Amino acid sequence: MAGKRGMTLNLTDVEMKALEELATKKDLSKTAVLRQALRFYQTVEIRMERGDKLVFENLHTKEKSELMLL
Amino acid sequence: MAETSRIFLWDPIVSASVEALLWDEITTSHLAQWEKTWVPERAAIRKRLEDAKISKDQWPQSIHWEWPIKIADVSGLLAYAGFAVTCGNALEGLMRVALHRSARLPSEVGKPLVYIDYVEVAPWNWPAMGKPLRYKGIGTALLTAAVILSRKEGFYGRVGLHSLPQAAAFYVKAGMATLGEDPDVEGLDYFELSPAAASAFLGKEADL
Repeated sequence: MAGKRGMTLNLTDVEMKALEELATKKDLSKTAVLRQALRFYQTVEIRMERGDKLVFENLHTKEKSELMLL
Repeated sequence: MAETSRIFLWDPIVSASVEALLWDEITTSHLAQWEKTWVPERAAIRKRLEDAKISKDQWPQSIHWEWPIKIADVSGLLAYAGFAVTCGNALEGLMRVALHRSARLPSEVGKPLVYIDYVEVAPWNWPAMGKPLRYKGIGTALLTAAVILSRKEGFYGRVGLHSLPQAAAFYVKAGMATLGEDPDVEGLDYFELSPAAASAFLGKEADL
């Protein structure tokens, strides 16, 4: 595994609140939430570059909606 | 750059533990070894099974897996990691995991876990092939690596996987909870290790 490098991240109050809520909900540190977010974002980007679509399906109604990323 | 840790496997022929290496990456060298050693061994096993007229539903269920494809599919993606076990110059086990999946146990639902996409031991370590196993303990070493990675990532040891039927008893013995058949994944049984079960597993892994 590669070594780690540090950075400073400045967030607005709203962004920090969202980060803290996610950290609580997911039982993760704020750093781990951001690392997970990067994993998701990169996966979505690369899969869309390969021609895949990102689709959400409602578990109850089975209705599908495509998430458009510009 | 891949890092290695020292682990121990069990040699059942001489009844002694042997030193091996756990790699935190599946390298091109491992894939070359897979091609050079696993593929011909697998072909020999396939021939023995065909000659003995063993029904295909009794064959090892990973006999068709192509590791170079499985690794190429996720190359460069941060959400995936690979592990390999080597002993001497031989490749003894491989595992691919995903880091962006969520737990399903009612007490853990929605929380992140290490999901084992694929794990396989070398064909000469497959049980019931009519030959003595070269080594035991590779599956346990790889499951342990998944639990340790889960803790390192802040996932508290949570690990999930869909098991091939032939491997299900191993995961039950490891303390994983069974959540039943998953119709979305070929009807395979889904297993999950909770944080408490992960601690218990790390305490007893030597006995598995």
